[in-house]
Amino acid sequence: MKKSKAYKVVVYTVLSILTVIFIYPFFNMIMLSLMSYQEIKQFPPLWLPSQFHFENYKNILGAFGYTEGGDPFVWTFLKNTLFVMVFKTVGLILSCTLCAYGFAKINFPGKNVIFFCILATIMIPNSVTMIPLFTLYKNFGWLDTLNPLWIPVWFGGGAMNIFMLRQFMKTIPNTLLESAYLDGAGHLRCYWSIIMPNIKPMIFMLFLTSITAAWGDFFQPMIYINSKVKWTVALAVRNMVSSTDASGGVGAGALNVQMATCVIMSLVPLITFAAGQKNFVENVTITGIKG
Amino acid sequence: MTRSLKLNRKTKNYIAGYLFISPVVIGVLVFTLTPVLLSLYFGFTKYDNINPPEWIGFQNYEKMFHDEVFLHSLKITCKYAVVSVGLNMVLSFAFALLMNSDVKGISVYRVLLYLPCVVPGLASAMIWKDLFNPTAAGRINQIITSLGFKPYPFLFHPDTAWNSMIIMSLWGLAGGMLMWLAGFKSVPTALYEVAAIEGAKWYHRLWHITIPMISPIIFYKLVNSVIGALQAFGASYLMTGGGPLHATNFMVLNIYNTGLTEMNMGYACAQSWILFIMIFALTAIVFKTGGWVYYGEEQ
Repeated sequence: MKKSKAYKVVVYTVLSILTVIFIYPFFNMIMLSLMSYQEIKQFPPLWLPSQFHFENYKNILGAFGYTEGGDPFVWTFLKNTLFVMVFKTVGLILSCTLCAYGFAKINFPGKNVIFFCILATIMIPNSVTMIPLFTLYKNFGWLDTLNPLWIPVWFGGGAMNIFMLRQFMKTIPNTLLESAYLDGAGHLRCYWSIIMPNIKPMIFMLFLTSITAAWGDFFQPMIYINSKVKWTVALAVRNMVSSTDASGGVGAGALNVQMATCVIMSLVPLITFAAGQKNFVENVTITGIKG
Repeated sequence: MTRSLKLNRKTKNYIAGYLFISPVVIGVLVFTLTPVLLSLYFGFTKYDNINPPEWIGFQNYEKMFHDEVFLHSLKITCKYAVVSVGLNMVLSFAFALLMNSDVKGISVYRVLLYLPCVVPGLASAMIWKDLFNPTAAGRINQIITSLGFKPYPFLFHPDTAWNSMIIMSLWGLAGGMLMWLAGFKSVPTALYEVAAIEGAKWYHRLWHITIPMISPIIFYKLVNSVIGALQAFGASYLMTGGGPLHATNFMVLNIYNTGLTEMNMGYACAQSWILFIMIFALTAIVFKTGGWVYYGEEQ
């Protein structure tokens, strides 16, 4: 179909206006993160900094305080976050691919009933399990540890993920597996050397979403963790949101330091988004249409 | 001999199956089913995390009907779900239509407009807290006052805080775009070609081809968005703490505050069951009335 010139002008104009509106908050975050303390206090507000104050990024280190040893707490938070990210992601990928394999490729009595029951748990809102989980973890002795953030994921890794993976694994022909069985390979073998290499794009997506979720989640750490040495980055930033501006442009309450933190917080998801962009669209296509 | 061997293999296969799915079975039993049952039980008790739960029958549920704070949170949550889902569905659909236009450089616009969805909730809370500055010095208020209007109080007034939450939720509009785009791609082009030959206008094509063909996606998104919106929490928790005057005290926030701040755990569990029942009922209704969904011929 040929497009008229007027059509193009309208489309580009609308697109550009929308882009300006939607990008502005993002742009503003970056600009504020580079302004000096005097500049963020000005009236009327400045739209651009007179010069780039990269020291705001350095001030993030101090904004969260120092340990007894004199190191910035940020390193502790990063270490905790990294720990959760790694163990959560490994557990998630292993456990939901194993379960999906069981549902997709092995026949056993009661399979469909069990699968349906597991799928039905998607409907349960988190707020229903929030309080009992708190008491449960208290009994496990998990409160004020990082355990609640990664151990449960090793058990299933999310019903929705299993569902998606199962759908995907079903498209892998059984003949591939059957010849392997004849050669004496067991299920574990087939899972690891036939199925896993064939679902690499899905695993990559799980990897990216799990990392992004672990990085940005402040809710769970907030419920279960108290001691500052156990905080994750997100929990520390959560406390930053409500902190007041008291230390003259270097503390957690200063807007320029807050915005610098926002930029850093956005980096991880931005990188994973850039890495997974192509995969992401394909993934949506698969689950959106076949799901 | 062969028969017992076969049986043996079959049993082995069963065992393998159960072993493979055992993580999720244990996971669901321990981390979902147990908490759900406990929650149901706690809902009939007075429980403060220090003393053991004390059975009080339906008192928690009776209390809810006289609890202004709870009733208000129920009201604004439902209002939010209807308005934000409605707006988001329609606008993100329009967005996707626009993003589907066949012009040069469209993929650059797609990426740019998707950026807000990548920003974590924590960061967007801080960004919008600043943009929503209620004084004349706020960035949005600068524009509003320069147009000759009074500064909008945004999150600082009970009448405007809820609207501000809606405005902020629209920033993530492009999040819904991807699935619409995938849906548009799934519609066979032959249909449009036939329509073009028949002389159908763009709105005919939209109404009679695109929308019916992607109805499974509309359906899926509708269910998911309503369930998601009923559980809105992060933005109001971070930005207003539910205020001012409970104007943004969404149900999940109220449950959180009742249960884990005031340690009134039994009452909080009872409230969470109301939310659960609402979500369950809505899902059931949407599925029952899903006759308008077109699933294609092969399914």
